[in-house]
Amino acid sequence: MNAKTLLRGFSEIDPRYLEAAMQAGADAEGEPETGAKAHAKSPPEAEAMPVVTVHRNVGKRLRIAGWAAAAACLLLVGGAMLHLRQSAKENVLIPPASQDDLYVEITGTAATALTTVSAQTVTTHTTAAGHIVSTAGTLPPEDEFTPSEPPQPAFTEGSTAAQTVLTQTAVQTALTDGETAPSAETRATEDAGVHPFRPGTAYAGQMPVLVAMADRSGTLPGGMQFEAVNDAQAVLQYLAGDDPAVTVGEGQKDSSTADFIMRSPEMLRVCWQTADHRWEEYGVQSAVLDADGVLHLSVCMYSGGGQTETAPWIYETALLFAGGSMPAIRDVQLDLQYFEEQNGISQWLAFNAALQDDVQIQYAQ
Amino acid sequence: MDDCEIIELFFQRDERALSETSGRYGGMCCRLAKRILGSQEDAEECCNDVLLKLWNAIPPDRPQRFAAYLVRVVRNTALDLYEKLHAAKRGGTQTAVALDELAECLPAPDDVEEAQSAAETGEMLNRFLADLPDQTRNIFVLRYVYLMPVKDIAAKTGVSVSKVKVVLHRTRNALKKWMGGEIP
Repeated sequence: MNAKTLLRGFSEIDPRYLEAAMQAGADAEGEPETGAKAHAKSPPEAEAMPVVTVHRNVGKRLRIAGWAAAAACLLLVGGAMLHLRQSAKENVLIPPASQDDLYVEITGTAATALTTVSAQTVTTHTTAAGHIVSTAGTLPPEDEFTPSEPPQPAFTEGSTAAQTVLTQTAVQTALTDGETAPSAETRATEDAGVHPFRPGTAYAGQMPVLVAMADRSGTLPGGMQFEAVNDAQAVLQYLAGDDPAVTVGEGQKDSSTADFIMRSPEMLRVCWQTADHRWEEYGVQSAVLDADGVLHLSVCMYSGGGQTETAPWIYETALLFAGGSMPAIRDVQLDLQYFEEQNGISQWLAFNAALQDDVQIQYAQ
Repeated sequence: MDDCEIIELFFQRDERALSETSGRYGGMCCRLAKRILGSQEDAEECCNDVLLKLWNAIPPDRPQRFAAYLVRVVRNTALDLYEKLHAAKRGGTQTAVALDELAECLPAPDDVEEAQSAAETGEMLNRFLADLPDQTRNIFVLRYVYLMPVKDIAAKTGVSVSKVKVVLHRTRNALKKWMGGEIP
């Protein structure tokens, strides 16, 4: 049999299958094309904001050269300023030196926050530096994608983050000389702060904003963008599958809420696309920040069988950090976590090498 | 006029059967033919050939499902014309892409019997398709029967393009494994 015979063979399949597909495809005369639910979401209105991306040389390790002052990129509602400290030596992304630099008013309720988070898979762990890191990826339904490693169980309403976050081992690892392990009560409080949303709770307060939204349109030249969103409502929207817009409050507001507001998660959203469409990527992506400040991004790749598409696909993931503890990101590395290919390790290596070549990370000064 | 009445016109050798068929299904046939052939002119030529073939085939055929019968005739006619026109080269059409994709489903040449007929292949595909979930089957059929582009499949079925690609890829792999068992 050859491919032509196989293609012709499709003409002879059961007519019921033809009709069912015809109905599903609704190939009606003059029917307008409707937009598909796409993983590449339409970007927020961000034309006034400079794109902040990270650039690396092809085939070399990614480096973050530093952040440009991005005052013009904030959604300005009077008085909001962005301060970023750049380390010339270390080339790191470092949060503002103090929370006096910038504040955002956050108001809203989190009536469905826990439910929404439960619908996502949140992988949480503690780095050796003591940062509590969570990742919330957008998982396709199980029948679409089987990850090579099962994700951590999601938060469920009423559970404390201690079940998945801090362990005794991790706490010990995080300690430096002279520090003592937090008491169980303290730990529970800290754990609760990692996942602070409580149904029906109104909250207001101030949180530092690191970077505003960046353009994620389909016309991206092929790059990776970081956007640190420290707006609780935006985080909620993101977890709900929406495309949140960051809003910046006017001036500085005094915090007048419970501690968990200040420990509300910060979200670092990372999105990227492949410039070369030889490789198609799909499925969940994950991000992990290790003790050295290296951001590991995992993608799932498979060969598209030669089919090319003209529109680049933009994929994103997000990291949630405990409020006020956004760690320094010193480097970024792309890891091929999973691939679908039948030819074993040689193909895996080929995929991995191609991945490094194809994904262009651009950093704007 | 419904499909039964159109078929009755064929049996009565009433030429209104052709105009009714064209009016009811002309757009669909032309779009399918164009996807296969890549050219509006060739598609129109194909559709004219299809009407002639219908006139000659009905009677004695009395299709129970006229739309599906029509799809088969259009498809086979367009593929015949495609082979004639593209004997030397192929590319740039959904047919070429579909052929590349389906080539992945075939076991290694030395494991395969040669020259299976389309009818036998169709029966084999039916057995494969019967076990698929409805949505997967629909997407697979839309791609390889109707040669609908992936983006159009996504738009029409209301799923993401990524999902369509995933479904097609996995189903092709499943077909490849399945055919490895079916073909001695």
